[in-house]
Amino acid sequence: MHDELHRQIAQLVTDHADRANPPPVAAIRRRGRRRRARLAAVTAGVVLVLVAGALGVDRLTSRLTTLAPTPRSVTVFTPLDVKVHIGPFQGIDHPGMLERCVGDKVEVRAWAQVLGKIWLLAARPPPSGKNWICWSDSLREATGAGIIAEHGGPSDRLTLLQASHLATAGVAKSELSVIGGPVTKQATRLRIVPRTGRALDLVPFDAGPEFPVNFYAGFFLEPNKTNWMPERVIAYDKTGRRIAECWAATRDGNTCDRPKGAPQPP
Amino acid sequence: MRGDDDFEDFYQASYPRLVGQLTVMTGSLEDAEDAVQEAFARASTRWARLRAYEAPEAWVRRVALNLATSGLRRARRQLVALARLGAATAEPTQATDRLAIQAGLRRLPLRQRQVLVLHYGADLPVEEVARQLRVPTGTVKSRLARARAALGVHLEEGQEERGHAR
Repeated sequence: MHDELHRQIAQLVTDHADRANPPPVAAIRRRGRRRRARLAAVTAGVVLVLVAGALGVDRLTSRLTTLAPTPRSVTVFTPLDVKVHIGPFQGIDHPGMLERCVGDKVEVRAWAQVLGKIWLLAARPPPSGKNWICWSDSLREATGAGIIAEHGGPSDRLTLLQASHLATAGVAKSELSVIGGPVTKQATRLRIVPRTGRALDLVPFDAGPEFPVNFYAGFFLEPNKTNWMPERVIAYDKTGRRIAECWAATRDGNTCDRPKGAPQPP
Repeated sequence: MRGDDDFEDFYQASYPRLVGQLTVMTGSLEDAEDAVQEAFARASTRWARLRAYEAPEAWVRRVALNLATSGLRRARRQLVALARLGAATAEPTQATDRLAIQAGLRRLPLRQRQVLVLHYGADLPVEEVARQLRVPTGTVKSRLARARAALGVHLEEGQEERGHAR
């Protein structure tokens, strides 16, 4: 069976290789040079974003308490100071969000712009007498292309805390990531604990009386990794007591479980 | 070989092979070409150093894999959307068994697809696959075993579905 599998996969690779259409080497070299130039420009942009955040421009509803140094190239989890706007977003279409739920329209509850990309959080309140909601988060280019994750629905009972991790190519040698989701209204503070780098503290934003939960979102840069390892999210109440903990999941649905291979928390 | 010339030779020789491997891994020729082109673009600015490596292609493959992995983390989210849109249209130039393999691969988790493609598609020994993915050799072996088992199940299911459809 191994030989047959080997043969078929190798043939599949060859078939696709035959369809490859290499651009001229000069174009590849130009792309390399442009990338170098772009990295220099983007690094300057990140400096501006962080400085603006540190100076308190457009204070956040959900924001971090500390800022990491500006990355020349990101080697550790690096928090970003990003303003989360509460309310609908009209800038782009948002197809595909909340498709787990029957409904007429997508209700975007919060959004943010960060490093040229757009983060959206959409959610529907629970049906009367039910203990579940539908929610969806998305990280997109200005053109609308990007990632969507869907969560909740009738089979996903609400829990104290959920954590969805979206990531996309960001800047420098890094990925732009956002971890967010619903959290119990008892939580007044959350902490995203990375494997390396400084923890990101933030406060949830009020989802209003129609929701039994609030929401939160934390933005950061992290190095590109072949073997992605998750971050933990911890929710605290107003007395500082730890009330819930989740491993951020890069998939649809709801899970807080420690993924296989993830380190034991301290 | 010398300077710019040997980069071009290296590029021409390696590009199709890497695109083939990445396409099987990502399920998208477009995504694979984008990742491989970006990896070569990065290689072009470091060629003076890379050309001294024993296997510069391994470096390019690893960068392309990293880029594709980022893309696939996105793609994992998009699988739901793809399912809603229905199965991909069969390409008439490919034999049915390879289409079945390709469909089966698409149903495997990324990590299992990576080891299958690197081991069988790129002909890398288990130890080199482990180096490329930066995981222990034992992990590669267990992923290979699980991937083969899962692929077998998917192929059987596919045969049954085709049988019912007749």
